[in-house]
Amino acid sequence: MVVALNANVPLVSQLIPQFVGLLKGEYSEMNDEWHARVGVGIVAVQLFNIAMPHLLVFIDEFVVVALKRDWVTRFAVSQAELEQELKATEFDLEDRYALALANVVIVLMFNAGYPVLNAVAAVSFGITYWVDKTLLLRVYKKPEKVGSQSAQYAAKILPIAFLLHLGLAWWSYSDEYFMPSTSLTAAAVDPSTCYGLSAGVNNATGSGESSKLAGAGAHVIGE
Amino acid sequence: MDKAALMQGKYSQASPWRDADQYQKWTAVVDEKTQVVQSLRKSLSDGASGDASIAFVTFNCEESWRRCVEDYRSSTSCFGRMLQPAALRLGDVSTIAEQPSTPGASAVRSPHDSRSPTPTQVGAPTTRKHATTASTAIKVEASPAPEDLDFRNMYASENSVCARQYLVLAMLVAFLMICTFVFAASETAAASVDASFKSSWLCQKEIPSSAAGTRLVDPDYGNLTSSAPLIVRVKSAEAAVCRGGASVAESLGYNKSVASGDADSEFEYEGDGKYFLWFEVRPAGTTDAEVNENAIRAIAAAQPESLMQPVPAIGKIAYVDRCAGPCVEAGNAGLFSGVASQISNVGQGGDANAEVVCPTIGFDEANAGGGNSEESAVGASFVNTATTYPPQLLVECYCQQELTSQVQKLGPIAGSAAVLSDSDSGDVCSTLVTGYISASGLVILAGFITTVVNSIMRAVLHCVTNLELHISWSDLKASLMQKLFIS
Repeated sequence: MVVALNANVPLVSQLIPQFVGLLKGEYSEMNDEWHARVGVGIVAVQLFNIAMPHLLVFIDEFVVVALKRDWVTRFAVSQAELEQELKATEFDLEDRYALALANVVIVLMFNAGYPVLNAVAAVSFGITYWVDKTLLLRVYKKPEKVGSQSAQYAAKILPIAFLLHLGLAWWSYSDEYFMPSTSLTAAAVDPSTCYGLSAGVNNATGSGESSKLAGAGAHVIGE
Repeated sequence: MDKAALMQGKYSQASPWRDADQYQKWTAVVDEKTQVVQSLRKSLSDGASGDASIAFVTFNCEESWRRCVEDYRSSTSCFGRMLQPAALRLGDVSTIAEQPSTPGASAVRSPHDSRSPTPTQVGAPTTRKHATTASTAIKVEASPAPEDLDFRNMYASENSVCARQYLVLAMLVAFLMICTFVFAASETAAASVDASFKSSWLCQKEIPSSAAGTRLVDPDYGNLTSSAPLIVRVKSAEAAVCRGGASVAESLGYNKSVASGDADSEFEYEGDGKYFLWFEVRPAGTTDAEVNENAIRAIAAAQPESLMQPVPAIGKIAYVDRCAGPCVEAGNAGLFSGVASQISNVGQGGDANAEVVCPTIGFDEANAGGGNSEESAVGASFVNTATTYPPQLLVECYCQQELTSQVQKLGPIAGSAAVLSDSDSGDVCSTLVTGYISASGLVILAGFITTVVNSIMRAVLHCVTNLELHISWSDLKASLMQKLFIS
């Protein structure tokens, strides 16, 4: 959503109705302004998501539910009502799964431009693991067995996330300010340079021109 | 039919309740029911041409079950059934081997049948025989574990489930569109706040340096000599430095009491007849109260009178040699007769009657500040040129400076109120401050609405997913997970 609102892709945005406003943003490339305004927001949200979902769970479990139980134990009119309210709460697998999957997709989308997101994701998943483990063993009631539908859905999403990763990586690395690249010159595509790559490197002997040609030759071969 | 047969016997001739009319009536009912049953049996015996074709298949071992599910993995989609290999289709009875019953099962359905298996089919040893050679694509789904079944939804028709899923999907799309518009509104509001503020480069460097007129940069700041220019601004330094090491800070000043034609305001600019804006220079780190005329004169004393002098009526310093550019439109540079000569002095050339080209500060990153950025060597320094600026731009820079300062000191609300209530800045800055307050409020409101909409959508998704009548709890949770992920 953030990308769709801020990016400017004229070729695609022409196909989208004007009132939607997607892909008609200010940034046609991931320049410094994008990083300062949009990128900071993305990283900040991911940092925010490290603790906030767990904080909400803790507040719900240890404040809201605790108050509710306290209220019920005072005013329950039957044993059945009391037992019903004092039951352990259920583990919302779908919520946790959706959150984890969203984190994975977001990190895969933007980690090319923001490698720090990998570290953020590692911390986030580590904390999620320990929090869920603790709550499952100590607080929640034993969850029911579920099928593999959620995992299969996640497996279907991951290739899409990978394609988004490729697209955004291409977009972020194509910005000339952050990733400057030199044009391929005619001299660089000299066949003798290409074929004689190793010889060129060995014979360079510190010559800047030879090194440049060898590097350009490697670039051509790589392509 | 059993009831009809009983009633027929009740009214027969052998019964104590014999009644010829009732007997004929119930005989007709029995005949009719019999015909229906016979037709049903006939249609069922027709195999593939019949409608009822659902089976609960059991396997000897789990490997066979997995093999079947794997082979028919694409059978749940219409496209997959269209391309279903002939060997997997339902065809001649001779191709179907009989299977004994074991635990572990798969429900085999015709794509046109109701999704609910009959009680006799579920869990029963099943072998379907079909007397036709026409092949039919079949749909195979792994049946959920018994404890995973939601028996309330067992008998929901496929059409009903499909319609409900599309309905829920439409609701999800509608919610997402609402969220998109709210999010876009917040982004637009944030952008409007940014757009209402001029760039810091423009307000803090480009315009001041133009206002100060010629400024030469000594490449080596530490080796200033007496012949160095009066005001030197070093790269990346925010404060200007006077000769002798006295730091000064520049900011826009405003005094609405100075009127056009005032004898002391020879350096004033009347943008639209209301504003008098100048760049004040004072020792860095001092407050307004600490800036007195003596301190300013002390600074000014170190400067050549031809370059800098205080404005007695106000007690602050204005640049004598400032370029008319920041405040004077093109072709209206006559206020300062020295402008053209100054420009020519720094090798830029110029014409007092033409658009004023203001020499500006010469940073290394010459192109960063906009303007014409024509570099020309002046001694060991570089001078850039900038075009003129409209008066309103200077007013906006002044208001931005005041608003930023007050917000930093008092916070967004009290700071904005302080600017509005100020006798000097309140009247000229009311438009900018009002816009700032509106945009900030809109950003906060949009963020709040987004949070509320997300919370509502989360609760609604939990409810509407139940409407989809999933046959198992796992399907329900998976569907909910998908919706939460997308949202």
